[in-house]
Amino acid sequence: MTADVGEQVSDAELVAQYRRNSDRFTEVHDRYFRDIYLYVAGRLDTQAAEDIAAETFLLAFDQRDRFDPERGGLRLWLFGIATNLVARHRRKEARHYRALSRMALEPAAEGHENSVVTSVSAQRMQPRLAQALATLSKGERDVLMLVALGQLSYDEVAQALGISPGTVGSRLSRARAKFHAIIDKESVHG
Amino acid sequence: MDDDLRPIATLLAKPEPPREVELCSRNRLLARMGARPRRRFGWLVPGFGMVAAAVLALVVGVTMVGTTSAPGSGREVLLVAATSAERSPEDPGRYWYTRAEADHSELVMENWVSRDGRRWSRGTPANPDKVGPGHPRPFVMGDVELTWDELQALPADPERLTAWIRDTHEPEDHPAAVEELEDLGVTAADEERSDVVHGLAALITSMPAPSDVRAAAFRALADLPGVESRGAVEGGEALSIPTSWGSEIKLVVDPETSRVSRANVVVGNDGSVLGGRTGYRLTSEWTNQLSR
Repeated sequence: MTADVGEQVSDAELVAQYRRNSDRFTEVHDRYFRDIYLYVAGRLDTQAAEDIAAETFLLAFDQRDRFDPERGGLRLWLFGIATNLVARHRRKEARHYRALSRMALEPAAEGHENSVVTSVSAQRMQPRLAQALATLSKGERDVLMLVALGQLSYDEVAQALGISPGTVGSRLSRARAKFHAIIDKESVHG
Repeated sequence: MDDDLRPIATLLAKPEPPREVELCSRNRLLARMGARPRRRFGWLVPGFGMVAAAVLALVVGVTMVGTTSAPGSGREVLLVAATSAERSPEDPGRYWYTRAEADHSELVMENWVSRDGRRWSRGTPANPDKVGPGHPRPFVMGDVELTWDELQALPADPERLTAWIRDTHEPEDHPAAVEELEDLGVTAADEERSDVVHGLAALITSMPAPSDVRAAAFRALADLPGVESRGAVEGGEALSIPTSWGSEIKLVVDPETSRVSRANVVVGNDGSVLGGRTGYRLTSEWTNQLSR
């Protein structure tokens, strides 16, 4: 568990508070809405993220008594719920990646990238990356996106999804292998 | 995060959530947490309301003269729809079926309500099944919750109907919601007017009211100041109905059938309000099939 200790304590306190007074659950929303929204928006789009992020907190509120602070933070629990909700939109997610892979390469907005060099190579890579994303299985994609978009550690991904750390590792390896197969081809021919 | 995954994060990164999106979500949560069902929550949000108000003010400023009851005006569309509603025969179907589909996500909410008031639901967390058979308050109209029998007994006169909603209105009392209203400078009169408009709109949009009550709701809406037609679109005529503090309800009404086929806001059966930025395709009709 690599999470910050202070954060853990305050989450646990928050859980204790909303168990005494359910009105305190708005604080859970205020604390984590942004993280959940950005995670879902990255996988689907911003409009779907509005609905799914909101629904994540409605479901969390309904299931609040089932949450066990001993098993990990509120944030991981919420990422788990959001990931289940995203699963209902699998076709939309696949369309999203296919659309990204077809996108014409546009110059990055000024100030968007720190380094011009990174910007150029990242842009050349993008259609290939998006193409690779479309080839992942649901399990591989869940793990990869929680790491890349949710910025969870491997252990945290395991807790959020309720799977073993070993499974997280093997899914990520498979995802990486698919990526490298596609991206290396690009560097040779590109 | 490992460096080789960073380009994926860059590729998929989206801008921060707009403040109004976060507030809308928070308000749906508040409704779920037991604040009175408040459609106005979605409409408190400064981002939606203020822009709409500014645009509306411009439009009204330019076109006000002589348009109040011209053919094809918003008022006219609502009055024609009132006549159509009045003429529609009572349908013998066993279940009142409503369906709302979001334009931009795969969200679908469905409800079937039998004539004895039992409800079956399918859809999303905002439309939970647990408001299940036997739930005594199956309909949300404005900030008022109604049983089937109460709905059938509503006044069939526009003025009395409006007065009934106004009298039944109760000021918000959930502490977190009260705080938010105060922060935004919403007065008691604003609250009341908003609830009347939302109540009337809900009545024509999704509720199995008797023909004469639906007709009265259309006429009461037609009498509201600032109702505008936005022209013919697929499914009928687009209308804008201003609520308090500058926001608007947008509906598509077919004046020939009096059916509402689109809205920019819908209410889940937990009382939470969805909408604002996305639109919803609506179905509401009598059926004999419980599920399809």
